Amino acid sequence: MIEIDTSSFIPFYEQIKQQIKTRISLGVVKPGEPLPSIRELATILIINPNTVARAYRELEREGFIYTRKGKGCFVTDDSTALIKKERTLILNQVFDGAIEEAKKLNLSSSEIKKIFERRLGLKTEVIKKGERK
Amino acid sequence: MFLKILLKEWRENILIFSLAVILMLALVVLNLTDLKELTLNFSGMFLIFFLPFAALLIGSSGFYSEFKDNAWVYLFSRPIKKEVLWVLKFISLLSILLVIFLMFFIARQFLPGLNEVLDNFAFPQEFRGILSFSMYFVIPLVAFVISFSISILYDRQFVIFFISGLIGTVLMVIYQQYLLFMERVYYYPGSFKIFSLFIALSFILASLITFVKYDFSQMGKKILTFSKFAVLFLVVSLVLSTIGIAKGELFTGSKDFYPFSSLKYEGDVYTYAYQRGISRIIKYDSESDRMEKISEKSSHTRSRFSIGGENIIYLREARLPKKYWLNNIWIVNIDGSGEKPLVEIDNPDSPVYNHEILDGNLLSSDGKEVIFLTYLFDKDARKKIITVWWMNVNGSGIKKKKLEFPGNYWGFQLLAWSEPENHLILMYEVKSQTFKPIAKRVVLVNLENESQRTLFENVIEGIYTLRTSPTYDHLALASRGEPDGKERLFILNLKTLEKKTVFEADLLKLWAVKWSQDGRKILFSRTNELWAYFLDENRLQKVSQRNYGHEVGFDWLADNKRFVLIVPVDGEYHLSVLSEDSKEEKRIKIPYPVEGPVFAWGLNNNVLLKFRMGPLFRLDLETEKWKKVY
Amino acid sequence: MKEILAIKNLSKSFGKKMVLENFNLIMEKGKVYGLLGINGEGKTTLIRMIMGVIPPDDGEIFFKNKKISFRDDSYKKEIGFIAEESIFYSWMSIKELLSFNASFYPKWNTRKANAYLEKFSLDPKTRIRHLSRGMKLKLGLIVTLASEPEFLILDDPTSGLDVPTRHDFLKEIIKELSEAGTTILFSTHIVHEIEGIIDNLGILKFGNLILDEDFHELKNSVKRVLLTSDESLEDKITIDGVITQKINGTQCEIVVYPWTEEKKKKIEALNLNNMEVKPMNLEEIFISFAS
Repeated sequence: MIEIDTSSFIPFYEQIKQQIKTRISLGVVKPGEPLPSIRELATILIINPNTVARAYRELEREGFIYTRKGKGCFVTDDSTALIKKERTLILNQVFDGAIEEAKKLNLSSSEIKKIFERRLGLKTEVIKKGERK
Repeated sequence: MFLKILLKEWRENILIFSLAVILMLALVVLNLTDLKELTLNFSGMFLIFFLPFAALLIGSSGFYSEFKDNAWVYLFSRPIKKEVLWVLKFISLLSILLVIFLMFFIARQFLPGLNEVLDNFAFPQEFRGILSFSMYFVIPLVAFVISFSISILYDRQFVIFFISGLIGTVLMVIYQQYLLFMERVYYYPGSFKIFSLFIALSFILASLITFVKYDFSQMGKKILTFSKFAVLFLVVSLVLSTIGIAKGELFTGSKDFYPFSSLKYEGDVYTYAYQRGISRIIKYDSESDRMEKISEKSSHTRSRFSIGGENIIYLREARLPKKYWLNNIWIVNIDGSGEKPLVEIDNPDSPVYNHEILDGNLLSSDGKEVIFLTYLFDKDARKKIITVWWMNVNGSGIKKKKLEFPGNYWGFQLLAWSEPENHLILMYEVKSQTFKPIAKRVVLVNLENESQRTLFENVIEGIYTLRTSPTYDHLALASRGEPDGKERLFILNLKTLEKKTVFEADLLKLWAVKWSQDGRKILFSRTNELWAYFLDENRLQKVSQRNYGHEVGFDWLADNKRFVLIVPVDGEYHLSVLSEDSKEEKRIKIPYPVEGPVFAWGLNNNVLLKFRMGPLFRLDLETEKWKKVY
Repeated sequence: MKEILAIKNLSKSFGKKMVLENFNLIMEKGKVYGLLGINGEGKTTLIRMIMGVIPPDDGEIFFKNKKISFRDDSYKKEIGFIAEESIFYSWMSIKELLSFNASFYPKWNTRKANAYLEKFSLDPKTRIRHLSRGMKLKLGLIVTLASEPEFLILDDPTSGLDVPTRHDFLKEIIKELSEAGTTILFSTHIVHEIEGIIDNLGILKFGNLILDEDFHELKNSVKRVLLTSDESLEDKITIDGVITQKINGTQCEIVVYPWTEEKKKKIEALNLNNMEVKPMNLEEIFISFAS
């Protein structure tokens, strides 16, 4: 379910975009499948349809969805790939940031790697624990 | 839209309407049962007061529901113009009132005897002029208009109800004062309908202006504005109606006049016209073929006037403060100039100071001398003192003679005066202690020795029956004779005092007597009959049967030979010109509606005809052309 | 971008109290305009003047570029209006009211009205005086929407109602909005309710708009700025547009509108230990402006 957090400082249309992208990448909605109509979504979320329209417009511009006149909006085939690309870019940025922080602490590359593996291990365990539960 | 508003208003006022229906029905039912007598008077009172009450109630409900639920916000935000809203609501509520009126009139049909009760309901003397129609219709309508107009101002219906009732009462009081004022100044009884119309319009306008300008949240401003405009319009109306009445022309009612006094003199016809508070002596001038005003004043009495020489004399109210009943004799030249009072009744040095001058003043035939009567009541002796005065018209040479009469003698009138012989023909009425008429007497008074001789004991008076001949030598009158009780028409010779019986019957049924210009012939009408009498031949001749207008619609022409008469022919009316021996010479169709008595005056080759409701026409007998002269 | 409503220098006072003073506002067609008011009077008065219910003292109102006066009525055919309080005749039944109302509007859509009646489960025979507040609101909605207005004015319609009713109401509004592209003026004091809906925001205080902004830009242009310094910050803040200010010796919190690069630089120029520029949500913005 798409939800809007009104207290967040992220603009609503941005929130909608992000959530739709997440659903696409998680496979909740697959390429070729339709998205809810602007009217439906606006009504469910109780927000201005213009906001939804803007989100859809930008998603279309960025290539994640396409509109078929009279039929609605649909997920593009390469949306998954695009999302992956986008997410990869973000990931690189995050890693770059982490590396810079490490350099500030005067850590060597091997020390950095160790910290990374340890953190990854911990995180994976937590995830596994969560799954077991 | 209008339909919806109409339905809404009816629905909102359904209670008062149902109440009205129930009450009317109850009245009708009660009146058809044994309780009839009891309820009849009550019904009358009820119906008289219910209509204004209902009107106030309906009117005050005007904008109440809009105030109550804040619905004015709703209404004002709809696409409808405010003035349209006001008017539609007004009409809708008015329709409810009108239906109640209708029920009222229907109820009247079912309540026999009610009409009498209702019609006999008399408003106080101060509100005279309010006839039943006005009362049933006009008062409730005005009450409605007032209460509806002010219902825009306040949100409490009963407050509006009472205040509008209060305003209505105050206006009635103002109207009363206005009447008195108008009577004093203009001798005009006022027109209640016109007055009411002005009130209604003032309130409607003030209300509309206020309504359109303000909303319902600014009470103070609204009340202020409304009051300003209402008072302004009322004052303007009052001023306008006063001016209009003063001019006598603003309200085109009929130019009616009743030729109570009219005389033919030297080929012209002089007559008395009273019209909306203005009294006039008007004359038809044969030469110019026009009506001319001789005298126009606001306070004539409906008196006879007398013409002699170049002068006319008549009686006018003296308008003295505290002695409003006193009249004065005025004189005016026959061309209308030189109008002034003949004597000073307000001057303590004047011999006629404080005397009550009676009607029936006479001018001598040369117009130089006048004779008149004054009246005084001796309380101690319980006698009536009639003083006969005669004087020159310039005021000099006043002479008088006192005559005494018992206290139960009334209505003294001067009929004729034989100048050289110095005797008077006087008429008075004898009544019993309970004011029951006993006899109407014509007496001869010898001014030298004050002796009195009864000439006629039981005079019968009709509209045009006591007529002196134009030559001032004869008097025609009718009386019931003793011992046989028969009624007779006489001609009295004023010089010889000889009485000639012209006609006699058990019942004379006399309407009018008309002398020929030379004073030698008369025409007189009885119901359904017209007769002619020729003095010189002592000959009586019947003219015709079943003619219309013979009451007064006939007259001699100036040639003393022919006369005219109105005759009905196949549902239409014609003027018939007949010769002395009743042969019809001509017949001219009258192209105007003939309803009620038509007065005729015959001149040279013209005839003047006065129709009911005023218009006076001149018909040229040769060219057969009509001209409206008044 | 057509201007559907333009208000110029509108003023109104009741007695001595000046409720609106030189009020200016422009609304674009198809947009939703939220109006938050500090006190109730100004909003309702403004709306009533637009609807021709009360006359302004001064100023002009233009609807679709035509000047409207207190006397005009035909423009009202295209405006729907839901009032704050109940304004219907309490004795009427729903059916009677709808029928009465329909007679004023040539575009009245009876089918739509009936559909709404069913949807809201309102019995047309019920008298208005027996309706709850929520039902009256729904009725108000039917009365307004069935006349298919181009412009909708909502005067604090949902105050005093429970959350489900409010939600239903807003859903209907959104539906209407997406179907018909109606322009809406939504005045309220339930701030968070309108957050998702509005395109523009106005805040009315002291008879005038102290804020009039595109809502999405708002979060960029209203900022909360936290400053700490070694020295006292009293009298050091010299920029314009400081809406609220809390100075505690060496610590300071200000709300700035509009936040510009210039102002940022000016503040940075002060001798500061720390400077944080934080965005604000609508509630916080409203509270700052309201005080």
